[in-house]
Amino acid sequence: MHSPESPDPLTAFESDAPAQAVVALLGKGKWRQARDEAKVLCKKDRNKYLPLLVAANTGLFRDLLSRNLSTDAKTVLENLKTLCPKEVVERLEREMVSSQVAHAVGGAALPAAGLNLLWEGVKHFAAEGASGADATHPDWLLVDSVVTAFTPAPDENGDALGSRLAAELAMVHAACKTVSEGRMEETVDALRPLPANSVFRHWKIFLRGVRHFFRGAKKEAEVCFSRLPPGGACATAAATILNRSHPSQIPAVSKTAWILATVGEAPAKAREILTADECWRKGNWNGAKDALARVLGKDFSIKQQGIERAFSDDLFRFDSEASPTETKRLDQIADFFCQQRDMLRTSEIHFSVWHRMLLADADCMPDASLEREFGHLLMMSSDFLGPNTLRDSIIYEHLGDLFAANTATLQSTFLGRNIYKARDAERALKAFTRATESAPENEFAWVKLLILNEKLGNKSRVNQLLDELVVRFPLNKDILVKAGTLAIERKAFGKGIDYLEAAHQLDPLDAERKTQLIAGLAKYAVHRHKKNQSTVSLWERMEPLLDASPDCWDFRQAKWAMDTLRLALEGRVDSAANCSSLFFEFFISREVSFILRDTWRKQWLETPISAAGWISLLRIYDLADMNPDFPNWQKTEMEHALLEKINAPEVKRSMEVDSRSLFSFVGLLLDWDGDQGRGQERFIGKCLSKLSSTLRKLLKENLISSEPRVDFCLCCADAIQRRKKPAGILEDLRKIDDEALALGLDDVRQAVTNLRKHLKIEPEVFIPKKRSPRRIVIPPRQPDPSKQPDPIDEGQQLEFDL
Amino acid sequence: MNPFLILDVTPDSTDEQVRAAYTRLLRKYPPEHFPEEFQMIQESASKLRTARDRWRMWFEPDMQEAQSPLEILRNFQKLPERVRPPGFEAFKSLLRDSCAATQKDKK
Repeated sequence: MHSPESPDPLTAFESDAPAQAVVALLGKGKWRQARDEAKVLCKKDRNKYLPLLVAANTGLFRDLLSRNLSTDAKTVLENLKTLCPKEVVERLEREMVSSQVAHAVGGAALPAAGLNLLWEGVKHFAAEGASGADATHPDWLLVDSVVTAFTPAPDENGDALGSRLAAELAMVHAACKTVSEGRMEETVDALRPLPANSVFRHWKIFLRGVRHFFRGAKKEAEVCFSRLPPGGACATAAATILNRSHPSQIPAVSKTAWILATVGEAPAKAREILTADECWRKGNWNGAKDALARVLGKDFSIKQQGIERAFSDDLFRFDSEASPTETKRLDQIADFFCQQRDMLRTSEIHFSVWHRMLLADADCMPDASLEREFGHLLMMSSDFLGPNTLRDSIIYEHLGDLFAANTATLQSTFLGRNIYKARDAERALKAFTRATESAPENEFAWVKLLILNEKLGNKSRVNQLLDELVVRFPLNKDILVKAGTLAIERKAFGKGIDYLEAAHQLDPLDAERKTQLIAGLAKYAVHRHKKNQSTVSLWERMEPLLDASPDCWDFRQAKWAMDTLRLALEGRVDSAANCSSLFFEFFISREVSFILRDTWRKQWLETPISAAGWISLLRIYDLADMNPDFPNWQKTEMEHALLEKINAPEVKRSMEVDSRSLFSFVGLLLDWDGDQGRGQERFIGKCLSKLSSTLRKLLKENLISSEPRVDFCLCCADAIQRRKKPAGILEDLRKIDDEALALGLDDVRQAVTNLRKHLKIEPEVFIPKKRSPRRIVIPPRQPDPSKQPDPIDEGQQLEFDL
Repeated sequence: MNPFLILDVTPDSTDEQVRAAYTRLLRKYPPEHFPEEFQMIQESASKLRTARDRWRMWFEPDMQEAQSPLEILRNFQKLPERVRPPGFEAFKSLLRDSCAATQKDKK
């Protein structure tokens, strides 16, 4: 072992040529190189060159300490322990601790004063920890008491443990100072040397959490704080910082002072805030206002951006349910307002209060007063916030909204009538007009003016406004769509389509705009078709729109609908009838969520259905039914629409207009060649059921007379609903055939023949040898050979095959 | 939450000022680390996007329940960028009060 404290450790190597290089490196402070060279020499002659190695390591150790790299210095010290005597190592250790303390307290020396009893306790815990005794649960509060005293530790001459603890305490104090002043990097540096087994180790966690909190990372802070020992001061402080409940609560004043300090306000304001809060909770608005005015040091301000703004904005609210406390508070606010107004002392708080009160009371104020008060509001906002035309426009717009509110009674709405009754239409129009005059760039005011005129039925003004707005706001999709749909409604299709096209071009990805354009084109196509004009160009315009979204279910549906509509209009589904067009309009309105005609239902019910019409409708239904994408609810709606047409007046009229229509309808049902599912079969059953009941009713009331076609319809319904036994149905068919023969109705005779083919006959108890059985049914009782029935006789089962 | 306080702008701030405040806050509160703050900032920015939006919000603020002064102060502290290091004296006071409260509770 060699002591680095030799009087002149390097003089012995003056004449030693190999050692000169090491000596030179030591002189230049190149410790690591010197150490490496000395190691090489030691391998040749350890005893001779050991002082050089010790000198290099000691130099490196002190260099590291001077740079506050304690961990690295500690490693070098461990190395020195193998080279130097014990007392030298201990001295170097003390040197290290002193250096750490000096760094921690910013270079200040440790005070000479002794530690109090707490300090001895901390030392005791630390000693237990060092000796390996169970010190996993030290008295954290005792340790925290030492830290929060913020008194430097006493000088510990010769006491390595005391010196180490003093150094660690100084580190914690330094970190507390730097973290509270926002010097986060320094906090990290100050705490880095704190050992993991230190009695102050929880402060490292706590201060890391505090650092995260000030950085805005509340979750990370929570994670750190959750690791704190629960019985210590750090946990209590952490709960205050996070504003959480904790068994140990610091006084409300301290808590408020802390919050104020963290938002850059003086902690001294805490008492006034608490006073204001207490007054507020008791409903004493004046007390709260006065205390807050003292906090702010001046009046409330709606122009500030800090805590003044928060208090000015959020303290005066009038929208809550009036609890007794709230009522008391609001009464005081109202008194304050009236007092201020009487004294003509308007301040920002007065303006703020008045503004909120006006909005809250606007619904129940007389119209004339409301208009006058809004005039005052406009003047005061200009006084306090400076002139601003857009703000004035918004205030007028709000006034317009209030006057334009619908005051129609609930009863009129309940009766299904779409009644609109403005609170004061004239004042609303005036307010919206003033809004557009104040700020012509306020699109919303224009649109509201437009909508109000539309509701009031001022069609010419609406059209005039739309023409103006389309020019003024060519990039406003809503205005273009509105202009487009209204133009289409008044049958200005070309103009309407152009507007809708322009709206679609502004945002091609907007599905709603695209749908509106498709619906517009479809409606235009129907219109042109009715006028016998070509619709080819419209379909061509529609194609790319429908193909643009192949993955979208709605557009796949719309595409199918449009294709079918085209087929219908072009007569390819035997449709030229008005009723088919109506049905399609109904169908499209469901399909593209665009009501084409408000009076659809009325027109649908009033339009007679010819034989061709029935065929067309059922073909359309069939097309929808075959489409796998067609939803069941839409199918049900279509069924309802069709069934609705089978009513007594309609059937009677149809028979008067075209006596073949119902017969054809039934025939079509029988000949339905679609791939029938259970739903379709059920629908046919429903149609025939309703038809037979309607016909019977008409016959009973002598509104129609019996004839072969009507009898055939009834017979079909009976067969499907199994109202009669097969023998009866066959007998009816025979009679109908005879009558048709007498009257020369070949179509009826053909239908009878067809129906007979559909009726399958099965023997119930006996299988005749001359016929091959179609189905064997287990007999319910023993057959009687003497009563062998004719295959077409009573007791046989009929099966209806569509 | 008051969007003006969140973005620290006023109704007569320009679009550029609002955008600058929004961008600055987004840089500081990226969504992956600060989802709540990010949402708060996003909502506020969408409410104050145009001059019309801002004056509309000033004239007719979002409906909120009445708040007591202390609630206002606490909510103000929760806003982005409002919390700052309070200084050594305030921190020492908090720690000492916490220690005293814990000791009192322990006794």
